[in-house]
Amino acid sequence: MSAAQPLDHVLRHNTWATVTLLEFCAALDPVTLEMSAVGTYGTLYGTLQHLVGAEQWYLQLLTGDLLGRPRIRRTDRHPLPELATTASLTGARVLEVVATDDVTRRIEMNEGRGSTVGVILAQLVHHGNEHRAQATTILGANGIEPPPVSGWGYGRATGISEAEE
Amino acid sequence: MSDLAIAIDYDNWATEKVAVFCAALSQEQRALTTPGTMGTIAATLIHLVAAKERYAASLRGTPPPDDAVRETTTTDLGQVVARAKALSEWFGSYGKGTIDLDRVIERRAADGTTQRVPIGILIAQLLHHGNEHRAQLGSILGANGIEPPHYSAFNWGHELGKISS
Repeated sequence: MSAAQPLDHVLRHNTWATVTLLEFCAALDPVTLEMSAVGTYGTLYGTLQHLVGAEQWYLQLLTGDLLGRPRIRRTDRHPLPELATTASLTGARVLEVVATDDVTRRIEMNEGRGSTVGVILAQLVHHGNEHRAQATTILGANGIEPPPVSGWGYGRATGISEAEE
Repeated sequence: MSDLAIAIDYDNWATEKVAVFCAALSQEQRALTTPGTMGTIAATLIHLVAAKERYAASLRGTPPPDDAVRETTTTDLGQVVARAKALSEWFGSYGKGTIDLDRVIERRAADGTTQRVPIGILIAQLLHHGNEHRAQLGSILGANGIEPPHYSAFNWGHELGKISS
């Protein structure tokens, strides 16, 4: 695989890691999804809903399109396979954005705020990693070994690299 | 500036912000932790910056400098802040240059073995790793009643004036 755009692997890792986490969590006892840990965002289920819903919003800011309607909220109860489908859709579309968009282009957000495309992309990467880390913290705090969702894990899963921690 | 350079600049800013915040905590606060994270505030911050030292060394093709942060020897968080700033300078310059993301380089793994990895995967790991451990620090701080610093990419964009309010 050749990384066509500078952020290509970073964004592919983001989508792979979110889908890997969702598939892992979908195989757990549903009771686990209601678990939380102090200092995190909320329940595991709510964190996953928010993780994917935010990426819908970032993509909507970038393109005007909402993929995987309706917009997913933290308090929603969408099945995890549905979240994985939406994460894959938004992830694929973001790759198209970085191939064509201008990072300095200004976008209107909410409450009169504006941002550049570059900052929204940085936020998307930050946000995905932040909430996956919270999800793995919840899993670890409740005695469940989290799935490997690092950049190294992405490299191994895609056959690009054999690097490990 | 590329989308990747922006994401790297954000990573530099966020790590510095968290390092400065944590270095200003009391010794008792630095020893705090919460279940599901990798350890104490001090250990997490040292690991966050020590790993960044190793990523930079891999990209430069030279060993880390004598004053590099290391998990095995570093205890002074002032040194961690200083090295975080130095690494920000290096990565900021590196990110703005021409990067061959497909070029395979060698890196020393935590177990001392040598691994071969494309630069694109190492950078995906760099950004994942920074976000993950900053999130853990945010969880530890929040779990112990300490308001974490605001370190999202939107916060960064706002501070830089790339987000207007």
